[in-house]
Amino acid sequence: MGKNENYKRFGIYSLIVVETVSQHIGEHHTLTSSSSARTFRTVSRENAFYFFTSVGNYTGQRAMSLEEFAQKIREVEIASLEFHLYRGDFEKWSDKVLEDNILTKRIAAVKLLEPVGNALRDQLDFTVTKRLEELKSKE
Amino acid sequence: MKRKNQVVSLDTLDWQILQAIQENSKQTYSEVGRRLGVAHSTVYDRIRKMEKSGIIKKWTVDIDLEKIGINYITACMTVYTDPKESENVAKRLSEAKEVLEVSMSLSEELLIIAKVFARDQEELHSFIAKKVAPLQGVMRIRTSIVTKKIKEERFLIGKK
Repeated sequence: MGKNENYKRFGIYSLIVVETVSQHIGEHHTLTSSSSARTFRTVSRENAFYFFTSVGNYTGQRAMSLEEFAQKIREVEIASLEFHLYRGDFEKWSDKVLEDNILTKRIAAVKLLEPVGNALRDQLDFTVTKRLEELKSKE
Repeated sequence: MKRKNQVVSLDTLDWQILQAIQENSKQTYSEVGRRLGVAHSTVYDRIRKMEKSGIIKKWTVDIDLEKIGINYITACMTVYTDPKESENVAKRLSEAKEVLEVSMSLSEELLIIAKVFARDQEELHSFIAKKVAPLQGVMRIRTSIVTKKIKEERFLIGKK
């Protein structure tokens, strides 16, 4: 079985797991319009998310909103996604800057699955895009 | 000591005094004078003049931090910037206590090269992510952590 095939199989499986975890978390949270607005806003340059590939190596990519974050997840090097996911940087940014408890827990759920490579990008993309759509539908 | 377009011209004795105190700045004026065959008051006067004119910028001490239990790392950080913002980025870096040296280079692209000091990798990353990457005009950053220092010396003035 090729590496890509592995990623595909693993990816599909873990998307289901993330979806299940997300639904579970979602049942216990009510989204208020103010929290939705907080998550949606464009943050300052100081509070933006800066993508690095390793300690001190900045790619030049940054996200100043959740929408931009979703887009960058599709664009940046996988090495950068791996670096930040396992350091807990995505969770920290979601929690402290976007103040989105639900997204924070879903990203934590992705980390538990220990994905790598394309599977990691797919799962993050799925998680963040799904959250973005939920928030948009409640706007 | 004569000034010519901001450059101060020194005579042989000035050069010899600089050389002597650069080797060991703890020497007394008398010791330097004895070594160079001049009065200690002459050494004092010359040093005072070189301090006033800014040739001698400061008197300092080189401390071995590891021996007093301060563990640290240094890193060489290369910041690629928008040329319009490079002066400002260099200025802001110079103001940070974590930055020991800042230089600019124009080889193929405009670069700012800085020597950064931190307690550990986490502190280094946090500084670069929170204080350097957000600066206006920063396009990319490459950082190399120093793992072994082979030589570190200041430029020593040779005999004139």
